[in-house]
Amino acid sequence: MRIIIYTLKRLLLLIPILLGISIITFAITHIIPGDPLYILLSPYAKEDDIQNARVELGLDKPLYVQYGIYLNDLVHGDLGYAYRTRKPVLDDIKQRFPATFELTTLSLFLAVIVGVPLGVQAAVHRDTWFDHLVRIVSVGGVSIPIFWTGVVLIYILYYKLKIAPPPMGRMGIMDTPPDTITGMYIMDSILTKNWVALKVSLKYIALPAITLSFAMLAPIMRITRNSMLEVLNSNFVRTARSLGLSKRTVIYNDALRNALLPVVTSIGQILGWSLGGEVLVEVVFSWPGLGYYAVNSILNTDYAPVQGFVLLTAMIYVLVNLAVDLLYTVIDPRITY
Amino acid sequence: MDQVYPLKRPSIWHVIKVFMRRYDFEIYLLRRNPVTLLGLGIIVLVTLIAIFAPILAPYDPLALTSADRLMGPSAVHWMGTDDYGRDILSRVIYATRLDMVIATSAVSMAMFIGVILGAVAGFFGGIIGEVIMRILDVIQAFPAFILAMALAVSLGSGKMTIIYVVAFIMVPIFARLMRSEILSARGRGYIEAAHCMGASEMEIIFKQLIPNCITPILVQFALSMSYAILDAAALSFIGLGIRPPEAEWGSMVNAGVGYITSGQLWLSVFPGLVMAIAILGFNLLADGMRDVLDPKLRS
Amino acid sequence: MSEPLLKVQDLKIHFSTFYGVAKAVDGISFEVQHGEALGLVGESGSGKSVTGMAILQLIQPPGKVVAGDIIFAGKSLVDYSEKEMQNVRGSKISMIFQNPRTCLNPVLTLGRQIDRVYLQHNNVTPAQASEHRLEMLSRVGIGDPIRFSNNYPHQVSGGMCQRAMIVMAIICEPQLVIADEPTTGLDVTIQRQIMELLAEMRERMNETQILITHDLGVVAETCHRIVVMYASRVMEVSPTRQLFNEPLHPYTIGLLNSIPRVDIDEQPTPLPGYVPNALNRPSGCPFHPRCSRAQERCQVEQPELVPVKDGRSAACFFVEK
Repeated sequence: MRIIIYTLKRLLLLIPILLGISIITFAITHIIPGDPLYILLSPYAKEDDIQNARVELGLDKPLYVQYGIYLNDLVHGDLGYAYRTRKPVLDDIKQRFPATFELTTLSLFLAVIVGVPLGVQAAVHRDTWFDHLVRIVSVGGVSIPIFWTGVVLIYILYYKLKIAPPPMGRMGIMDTPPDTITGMYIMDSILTKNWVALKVSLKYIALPAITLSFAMLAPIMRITRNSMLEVLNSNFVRTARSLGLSKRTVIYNDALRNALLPVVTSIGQILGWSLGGEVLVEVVFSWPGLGYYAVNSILNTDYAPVQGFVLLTAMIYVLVNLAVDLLYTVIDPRITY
Repeated sequence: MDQVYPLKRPSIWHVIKVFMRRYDFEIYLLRRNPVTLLGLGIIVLVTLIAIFAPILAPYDPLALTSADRLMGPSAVHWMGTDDYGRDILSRVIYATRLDMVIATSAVSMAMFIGVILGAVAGFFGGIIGEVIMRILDVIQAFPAFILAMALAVSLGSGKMTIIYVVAFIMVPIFARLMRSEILSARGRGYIEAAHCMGASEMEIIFKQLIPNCITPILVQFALSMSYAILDAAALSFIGLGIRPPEAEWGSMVNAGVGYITSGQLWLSVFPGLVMAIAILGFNLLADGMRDVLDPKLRS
Repeated sequence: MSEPLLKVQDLKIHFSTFYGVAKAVDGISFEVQHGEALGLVGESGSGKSVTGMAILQLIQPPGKVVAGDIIFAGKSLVDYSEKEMQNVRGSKISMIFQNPRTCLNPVLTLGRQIDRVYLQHNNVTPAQASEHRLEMLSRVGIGDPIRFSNNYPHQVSGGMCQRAMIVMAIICEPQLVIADEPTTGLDVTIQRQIMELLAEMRERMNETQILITHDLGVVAETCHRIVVMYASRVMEVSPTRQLFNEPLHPYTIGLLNSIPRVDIDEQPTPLPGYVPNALNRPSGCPFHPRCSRAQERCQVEQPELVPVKDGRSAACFFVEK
C-alpha cells in the first residue's frame, strides 16, 4: 500500500520534469539562430509564401503561445510531421522503436550476465592478475569510442573472418522477416516458431549487440567490483565467516546480495549513457532503429523527428530511473516509505 | 609522581615533515599503481602533439593529391592516405590539436560555470538553490549525448557549437559535485570547530571549504576530459559539429566507415586508435587520482 | 591440573604496511581452562581483538600469523585446513563481536541468519532448525521469537541484534565462545543485560568464554582469570580477585589507579603518556617509557612472562617471586 502511494508521489513529481523536458525540446527548433522557416522552405520561396507559411505554422505568434500549441499537440500524441518519410513522426517512431528496444535490452542483458560475475571475481581475487585484467578491460571499455569498436569488429568478423553478416541492418535483403507481433525480430521469430528468421536475426544482431554491450560492460564490472570489495570488508561478512560458513556461501549469499544494490541503481544511469551509444551503433550498423532515424533526419535537416526522438528518449530515461528506484525499494528491506 | 608534558609549538620542520609524510603515501599509491603514471605520460604526449602539430605533421592535412588516393600505410605515409589522397598521419596530428582544444575549452567552461552554480546552491540554498537544482534536474533528465545532439542541431555546425554543447551537458556534474562537497563539508566537525573558534564566514569559505572541494573537482576534470573527447568526436561522427575537410577524430572515423567493408581499415582505425589512447590517458589518471584521494582506500 | 581447553603459545601476528611491519601481537602465551571465563584486557591497539580473530584463523591480509601455535582441545588449529577450520568455527569455537547491528546481514531476516548457522553444522531439516531456533530465542529472553525471527536487523534495537548474535554464536553449543567487546555500541542498561546473559549461558551450557574488553569493571564481575595485554604483549596473568587486591605488574597497578573508585577517598591518577604506535614499539620492555620503576635494563632487555606465585605470572624484572 505504502509503495503505491510512494509510486503515485513519484509520478506526480515527474510532471515538472516532463514539462522541463518539453521546454528544452521545444527550444531545439524554436530558438534556432535564424528563422526555422528557411529550413522548412526552399531557399527560392517568395516573400508571400514565407509569410503565409509563418501564419499557417503559427510562427507569428509569441513564443509562449507557440509553446502552448506545441504542448497541446504533444498531449494529443502529435509529434509533428516528418518531411523526409512523409509520415507523422509518431508513426515513424512506433515502427522503429522495436528495433532499438531489442538491441538495447539484448546488449544490457549480455553486459549484466558477463559483467557481474567478472566484477565479483575481481573483487574476490583482489590485486591478482585477474583483478588487473578486469580493471584494464573496464578502463578500456570506457575509453574506446563505441563507433570505433563497431568499425574494428566489422573489419575483423565480416571482412577478414567472414563470420558476421554485413553491417546492413536487421536482416539481409533476401531474408524474410518474421510476421509482426511485437516488432522485435527475435521475439517474433520465437512466437511464430520461424526458426529460419530467428537464426538470421540473431546473426544480424550479434555484432551490434556485442559492440553496445562492451561499452555497458565496463561500468557494470567496475561498480560490481567496488561495491563487492566494500561489502567483503564489512562486519557482517566477518561474522558469517566466523560462524563457519564457507567462503563461497559468504560471497554468493551474503556479499553479492548486498553488493548488487548499487549495481541495480547504476543500471538506470548506464542505460541513459548507452542510449547515446545506441545512436552511434545504429549508425555504424545501419540498424533501422530510432537513433538511425534521428541521425538521418538531422542530415536531411528535418527537425520534427529529431525533436520527437529527443523527447521520447528523455521520457524513457526518466521512467527507467523511476522503475529502478521502485525496484530498489523491493530488494532492499532497509528502505521503507 | 607528576610529570609535566609541555605543549610545544610545532617547528616549521615538523610541519614540513608531516606534510611530506602525507605525500609519501600518495607517491606510494602511485608506485603501487604505475598505470596512473602511464596515464599522465599519455596526456603529456598528447598535449605536446597538439601544441607542436604544425612542426610534427609531415604533410599539409588538407592537401589533396588524387594520385595518392587510398594508399595503405607505407614509409611515405605512415598511416596511409584517405579517399582524397590526404596524409592520414598529418590529419590525425591536426585532429589531436583540434580535439584537445575543444575538450579543454568545453571542460574548463563547464567547470567554471558548474562550480559557481554549485557553490551558490550550496552556500545560499533557499529559493535560488532550489531553482538551480531543478534546472539541473531537467538537464540531467536527458541522456547526455542525446541532449548534445539536439543542441548541436539547433546551434548549427562548427567548433564553437561543440564546445558550447559539450560544456552545457557537463555543467550539472560539476555543479552537483561542488554543491554536495560544500553541503557535506558544512556538516563536518572541523567547520563547526572553526566557527566556534571565531572564524568569519569568508575565512571559512576560502580557508576551509574551497581547499577541501578542489581535489574532487580536479578528479572530475580529468574524468570529464575523457567524456568531452568522446562526445565531441561522436557528434562529428554523426555529422554534427566539425565538418569535412577539417581534420577531427570522429569525422575521420566516419569518413572511413564506408571503406571498412572493402578492407581499407586504415582510414578509420588510426584516428580512432589515437583518440582511444588519449581518452585512456585521462581515464587512467582520473582513476589513479581517485584511488589516491579516496580516504576510504587509505585504511 | 588437567589439559587446558585452549593454549596460545608464543603467538606472533604481523601486519605489513607501507610504513613498515606492525607487530599487532608479539609473542603472547596464555591458557584457558575448561569451563573458565577468561578476561583479555588491554587498551585499544594492544592486540586483543587480533588475538581473538587468530584463534578462529581469520586473520586477513595484510595480516599474518608469523609464529606460534594455537592448541584447541589438544589439536593445533594452525595446522588445520580451511575446510577443517570451517567445521570448527561456529560449532566448536564461535565469536561475538562489538557493534552488533553492523555484524548482521542487512538483507536477510534474523531467523534465516540464525538457521543457516545451525544447518551448516548439523544434519537437520530446515523445520527442525527453525524449531531449535525458536527455543533458543526464548531462552535468551526474547518474548515473541516468531515475530523476532521475521525481522530484519534494522527493524530491531541494538540490544536485540546482540541477542540474535549471541544465539547465532551458541546455537551449535560450542565449547569456546570469544566475546569481543560485546557491549560496545549498546546502551548502558542493555550492556548489563547482555553481560548477565553471557554469564548465564556459560553456566547453563557449560561453555568456556574469553571476554575481550578494555573495561576492567566488566571483567571484575564476570571473569575467573584475567590476562592483561599492553602493546602487543602479555603483561600479567592473574586470578581476578588477586589482580584487583594485589596487582603485580607496574602497568596493572597504573591501570587500576586510573579507575575512579567510590570506596576510598582518593583521586584517580592517570597513567602518563600514550600507548606506543604498533609500528614503532619501544625497545626492551614496551612499557618502560611510561613506567615509574623503569631502569636501564628495561630499555634493552625484554622481560619474559614468568610464573610468580599462586598461579600468577608477570612480565617484569622487578616483581618479586
